Amino acid sequence: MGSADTVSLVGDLEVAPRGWSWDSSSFAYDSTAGLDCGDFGPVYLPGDSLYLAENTRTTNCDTGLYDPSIVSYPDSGYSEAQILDGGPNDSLWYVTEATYFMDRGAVLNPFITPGGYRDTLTHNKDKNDCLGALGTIVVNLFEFNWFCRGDSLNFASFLEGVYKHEGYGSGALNGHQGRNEAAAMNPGWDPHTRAETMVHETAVSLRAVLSTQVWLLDVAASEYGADHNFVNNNWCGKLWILDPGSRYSYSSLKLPNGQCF
Amino acid sequence: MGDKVRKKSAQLKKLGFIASVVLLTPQVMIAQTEAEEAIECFVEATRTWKVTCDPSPAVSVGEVMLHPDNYPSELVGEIVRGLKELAVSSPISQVRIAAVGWLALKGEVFEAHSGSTVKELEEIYFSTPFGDVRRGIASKIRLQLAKNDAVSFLERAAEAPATSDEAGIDLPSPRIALHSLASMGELGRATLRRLSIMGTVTDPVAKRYLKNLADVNFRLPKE
Repeated sequence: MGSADTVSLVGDLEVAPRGWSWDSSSFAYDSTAGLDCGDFGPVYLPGDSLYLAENTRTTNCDTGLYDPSIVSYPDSGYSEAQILDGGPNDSLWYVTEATYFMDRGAVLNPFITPGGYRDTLTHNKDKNDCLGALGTIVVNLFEFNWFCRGDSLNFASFLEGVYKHEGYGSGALNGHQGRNEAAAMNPGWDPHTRAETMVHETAVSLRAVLSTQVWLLDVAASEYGADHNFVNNNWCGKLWILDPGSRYSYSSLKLPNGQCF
Repeated sequence: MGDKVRKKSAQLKKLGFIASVVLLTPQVMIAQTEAEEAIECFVEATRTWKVTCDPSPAVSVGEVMLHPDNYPSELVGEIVRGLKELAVSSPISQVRIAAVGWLALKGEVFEAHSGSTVKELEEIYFSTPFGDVRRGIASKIRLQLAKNDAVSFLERAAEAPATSDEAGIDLPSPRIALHSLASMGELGRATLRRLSIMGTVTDPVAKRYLKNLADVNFRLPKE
């Protein structure tokens, strides 16, 4: 070269992977700890969409799986630090620790629980059955099935099916929580793996990119966990459900896609 | 993949030249080509979770969205256009969602870009046929710095019907829009009160959710 040239070197800078991932304390699931997020209504006939239960976060009602919730706490779930050693990477920001977790629970629609809303029966056979069994014509869905029609075994297996549906399923990765955890364990959807290599010029840009990336992973994992094409077949059967103003009818409960739940 | 990108890029340059006779400036032509390469790489990287473009384009989608003021406005515009197109037409869910995520970024970090970003997200929301994109936008819009614009958009999103592919989805996009409003403090609650009084929410799941929210004065559990 006849004269001095300035050369710009361009490349992607990242921290070498440190083997970060979920650990044994990352996932928590409590079948009684889900939140009533306002989606439930009465379970009557005809019903186009009868919510029986939900798998939710235990701390808030945000969509998504990963905690802390990215849309409520985009600055949480990790710690960052700035390199200040006077070396070639001086002033860059990187992630020192990622602490994502998943804390979820199930919640039943209060309407189907023993304390659910009570209707006054109007149909003669319904009234007679409940008067004979309970001495009253003001009963709820649980009482009508369990006592008035003496269908306690069926109702118990229905509840067990509901909990399986929200939890770990009946053995074939067919429960929401089972699929949630399987999705999170997918190496491509693990936020720890995404966080550990990240380097940015400022704390703001580190936060912005990391929260966007974790959100993308969370959305992908959530869609996987919520998919009723796979979360199904935990219970097949019928319950007595009230058509207000008329009578209780023995009715099949199916998912909107026509499969057993 | 690298060959494919270069071939496509050459085709685009050719097309760009023909078009430039009519209306394109050289800057726009360069921006189009660079943006096209960046978007191609973005799709591949998102689809495979790996950076597979070789050589990687000088301009990456994330870099431009994170530093929009460092790049020519033509390039930023072309990248935004490419992301919007992916969000309404990509057959791959994770590509659609990632397009929305990166597009939203500049409105989450820069006040100067926040209003226009909400507008871009709203255009996608009402033109995409995909419920996953709409659910993603309805949830993530809360992080936009332009809170008033975001709330106005969410009001319109709550009133619109769900997309046809959301039939049977537990939490359809209008329901998520309502939840986002409930998470945005008094500004969101005022909008929810108005929606409740006007009765303009039509999606059955969202309608029931709004009624239940009204019963608790539009305050979420554990708020």
